[in-house]
Amino acid sequence: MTAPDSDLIHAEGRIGPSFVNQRTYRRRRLMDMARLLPLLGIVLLMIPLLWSAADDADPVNMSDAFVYIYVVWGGLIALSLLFTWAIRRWAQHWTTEPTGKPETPSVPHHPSEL
Amino acid sequence: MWEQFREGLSPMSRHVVLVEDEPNITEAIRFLLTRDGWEVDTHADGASATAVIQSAQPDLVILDLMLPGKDGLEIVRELRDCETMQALPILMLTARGQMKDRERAEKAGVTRFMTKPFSNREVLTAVRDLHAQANQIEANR
Amino acid sequence: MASLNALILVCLLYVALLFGVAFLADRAALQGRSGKWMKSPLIYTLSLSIYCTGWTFYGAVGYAARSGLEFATIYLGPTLIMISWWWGLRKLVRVGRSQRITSIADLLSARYGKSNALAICITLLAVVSTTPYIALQLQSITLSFEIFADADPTSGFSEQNTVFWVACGLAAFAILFGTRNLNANERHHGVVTAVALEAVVKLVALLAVGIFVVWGIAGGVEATLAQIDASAIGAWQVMPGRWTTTLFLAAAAFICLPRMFQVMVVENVDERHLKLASWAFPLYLLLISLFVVPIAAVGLHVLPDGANPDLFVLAIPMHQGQDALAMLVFLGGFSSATSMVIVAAMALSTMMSNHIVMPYWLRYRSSRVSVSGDVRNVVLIARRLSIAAIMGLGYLYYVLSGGGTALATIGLVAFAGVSQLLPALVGGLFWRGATRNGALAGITIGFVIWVYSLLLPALGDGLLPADVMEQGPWGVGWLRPQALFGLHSLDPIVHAAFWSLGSNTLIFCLVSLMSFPSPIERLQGAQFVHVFEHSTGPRGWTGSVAQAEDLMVMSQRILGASEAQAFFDDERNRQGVRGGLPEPTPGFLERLERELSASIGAAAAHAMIGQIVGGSSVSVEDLMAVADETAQILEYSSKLETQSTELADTARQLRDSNEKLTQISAQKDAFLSQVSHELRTPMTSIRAFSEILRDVEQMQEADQKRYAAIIHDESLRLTRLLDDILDLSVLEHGQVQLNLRSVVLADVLTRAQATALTGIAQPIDVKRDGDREEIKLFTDADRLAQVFINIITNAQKYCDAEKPVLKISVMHTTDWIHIDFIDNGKGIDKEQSQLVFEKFSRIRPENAGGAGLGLAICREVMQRLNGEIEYFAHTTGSCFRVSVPIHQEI
Repeated sequence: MTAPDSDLIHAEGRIGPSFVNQRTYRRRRLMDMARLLPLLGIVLLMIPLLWSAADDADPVNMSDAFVYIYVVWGGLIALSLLFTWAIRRWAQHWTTEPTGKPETPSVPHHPSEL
Repeated sequence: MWEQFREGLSPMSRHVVLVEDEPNITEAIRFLLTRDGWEVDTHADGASATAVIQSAQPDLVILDLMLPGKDGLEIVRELRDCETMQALPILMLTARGQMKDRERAEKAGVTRFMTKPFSNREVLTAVRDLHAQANQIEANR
Repeated sequence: MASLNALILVCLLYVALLFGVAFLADRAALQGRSGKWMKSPLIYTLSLSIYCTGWTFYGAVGYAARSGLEFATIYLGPTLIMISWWWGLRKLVRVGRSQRITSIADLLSARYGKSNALAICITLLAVVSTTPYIALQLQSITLSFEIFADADPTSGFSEQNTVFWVACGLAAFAILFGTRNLNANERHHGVVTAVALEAVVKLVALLAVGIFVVWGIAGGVEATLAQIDASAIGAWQVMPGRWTTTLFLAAAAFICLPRMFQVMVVENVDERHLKLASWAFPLYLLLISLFVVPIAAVGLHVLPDGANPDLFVLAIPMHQGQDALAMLVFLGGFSSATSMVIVAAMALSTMMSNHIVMPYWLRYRSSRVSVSGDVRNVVLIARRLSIAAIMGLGYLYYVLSGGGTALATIGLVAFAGVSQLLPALVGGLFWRGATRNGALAGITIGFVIWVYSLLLPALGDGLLPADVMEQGPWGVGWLRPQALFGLHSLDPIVHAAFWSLGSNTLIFCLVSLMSFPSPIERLQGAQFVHVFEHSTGPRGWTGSVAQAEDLMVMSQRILGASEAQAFFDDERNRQGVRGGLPEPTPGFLERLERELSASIGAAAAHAMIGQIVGGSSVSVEDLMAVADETAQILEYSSKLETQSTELADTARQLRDSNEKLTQISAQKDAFLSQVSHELRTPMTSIRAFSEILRDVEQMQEADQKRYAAIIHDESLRLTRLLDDILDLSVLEHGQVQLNLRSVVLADVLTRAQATALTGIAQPIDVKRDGDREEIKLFTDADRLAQVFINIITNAQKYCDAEKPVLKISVMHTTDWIHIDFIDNGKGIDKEQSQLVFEKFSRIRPENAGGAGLGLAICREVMQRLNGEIEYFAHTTGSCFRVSVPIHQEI
């Protein structure tokens, strides 16, 4: 199985080596989030399987189960929205993130500076 | 007769050909030498420089090392191959100040070698020295 | 109570509205003025809602009334898929777009070496598992008609007739809008827009019923929750096995269903739409299922015993006398069913015509492909017939099964069927070792087990004799369909999913590990698995034997005359050929094949080009095989020599690295010497004139000013040079920070032009491309502008025409934007043109002011921006081409 972010490693190679460890670090954590989100969803959705069912003495109320499922659902949507927002922000700022000393983008050399 | 002789060999004859492709440097040297009483001809192209110098028959040549069309050293060699030009004082200017270049220039037959950027006084001194030396040799002949 | 006639009228009006919307959207797209909203991610998200069919609309409540919250897994599965889009769907969509995939069968066929056998197998599986599903939709429409008819005794309602006409109407709609344009990659804007509209209708309808039930009948949220607890489904009663299985099946089906693949991958206009869909579609699912449990609970309470829970959604408003609401619900259900049927029929017809009809038709008339027959027409007819056939099958299934089975059961059966594609799909995308044989074996075994253990028993009596069900075939007990190998305690769905998918995956992996993929398979595998690294790959045509005319004739027949012409013209421009036809280069053949494969499928396109290029005697596969064998022989013989060569190798490596060091050192010396020269030259002027100004007295004021100006100019030149050197060194060492953002090309060009030509007495006449520059780029605008400024300045400096003109033209291919700067000067000598991008190379020294670093910097900048800069000798002057990739974002 390939690493899902292999394309990013590639992009990294193109953008430039060394420094900006912070940037790479942030991106890795973002990818972790992408991978953890569905896992979190699965775990949360499996929790109801541990509840006592209708045949047992003290079954969980349907309304409670209903509220639980929909709250988890809404939470996952919110996290997904957050992730989308994070990568959009990242796409805009990943190259200009401060890395210690601010580097002013060098002005294109003008032929007629007079 | 006397008049002609005087004109040809007179220490007063001060004619210089300047071969240099940077117009601003040309202008600076021309200004300096003209004020010092020289008649200055300028030329910017390497390929035709030899012919121009030969036809001008100057008392002194100031030559840039890196010229468009032809290398300055090549021009020096061509001039030295020509019989009438063997004693012609050549002052070579170069922006590449490595020892290697100086040796090669001396080997090719350059009389004096000067690295850019130079002071105006250096140039004037060099030009006067070279001219005086040449006249000395000419007189001793 | 609304009469049946009124209902039919409303129905027809609604269909007419859909027709209208689809037609307008199609026409707008055709005229290229499809507005922003049509291409918006919202439409894409809404079109995904064809996942919610009539089964969702009516059946979910029935499902909830029978088994409580288990129904939610059907929506939670897709939610999990959507929120993992970053490493799942994104890759699928990227592959689909880069390979011009037209269906899921096409995708798997392309991945596994363009195997048509696999494509046929998948098409069959898709048809078999979709047919009951279509029947289900017909049933839901008919049932909802029936409920109105029951309330209106005057109508002469006939179930059979209704089903028949509904099927005909849906087939007509699908044919009209699904097969209008042939190139499936041009997408069906009309259908997608109509589907999006239907998505809104069904959501609004369900929400309206839900709100009515919660606040209108039950009396608020608290009361509703209390009523839920008091109802028959008042306690948590989910079977763990079923909960997990349905969650998994829903997730798998969400990506494997042909219709989902169609809207999600094929109709995807822009990969970035997934960003919105990743949270908006789960939200849609949440909303559409939010009121299911309340409706079920209230329905069980309010409606008389024995009412069909599958129709609670419609029965409650009717029971409460809410005619308008009932009508809205009816339209919602109608929307759910129609949109699913139309898209499913479209997707299946594409698969059938591309993978079954076309290959056989081509084989049948193989010798006459480029001579006779209009392939375009054949494809269209094949698709239309396929749609009709699929609807016919759905109708037949409905009539034969007699309807009646609980809706949810059939839905899950279909899910389990298409899920058989999952191992091959996931393996194909993430595992390079997956092979065609593995996929074929896995899918076949899964399909067979699914049919035997789930589909046949679900079809009810008659198909499998009762004694087979109870005692197993020929009395072999451990082969009983619902208790394979003695596993009899499981729920049928769980049982079937476990055995079919389990053995499918196992066989797929085992056979893949044991078999050896063909060369094409290996290449395609690499392209799929590493799709983000290379969107264009090495697979290509080697023969340039193909006659351009033959290719043209063939393409015209398949793509249509004008499109083929445009494609060939584009290629000719790319090659720089003037007039006539482009050369059949390998690259061109590969692009043509992709273009054709969008119309007739990968395998057929490959075969057709093969016929023309190699007279079909030598296929690429053969060439690859030969190359492969050669490589093996070489490998063998080289092994024998290894020992003796190893020593020599080490020595050579040492020599090489020594040489390299010397070379680097020499390069460094040369560079320093150059820099020193370039720095000393302006210094000389500055020093000389400043001394003149200092030493000479009584100078004229004009002279003084002029000399001061020279000093100023030369110091600027010095600064510029230092800037350039620093810039270049930063670029070369990769320590550059790119400020990537979205910019419009026209703005960058305008800025560059202004910067380059301001303050120049006679600026060069710049001719621009107008609208074609209105392209959005994701790049570093400052750096790109720097490149443009350099080129424009060069043109200004070096163009020696009497009336200098610089033409800036923009060309657009799928992956690149080429910006050509063509001037009318005499151009650059051939020898020098190879050196223009080298450091310190001046094109014409006599009128240069720079250090000769400008173009070297340009080249470095373009490399950083993943683009290119090239020089071409052009008939009218010199031409600098700047190429920028279009997709850069992520």
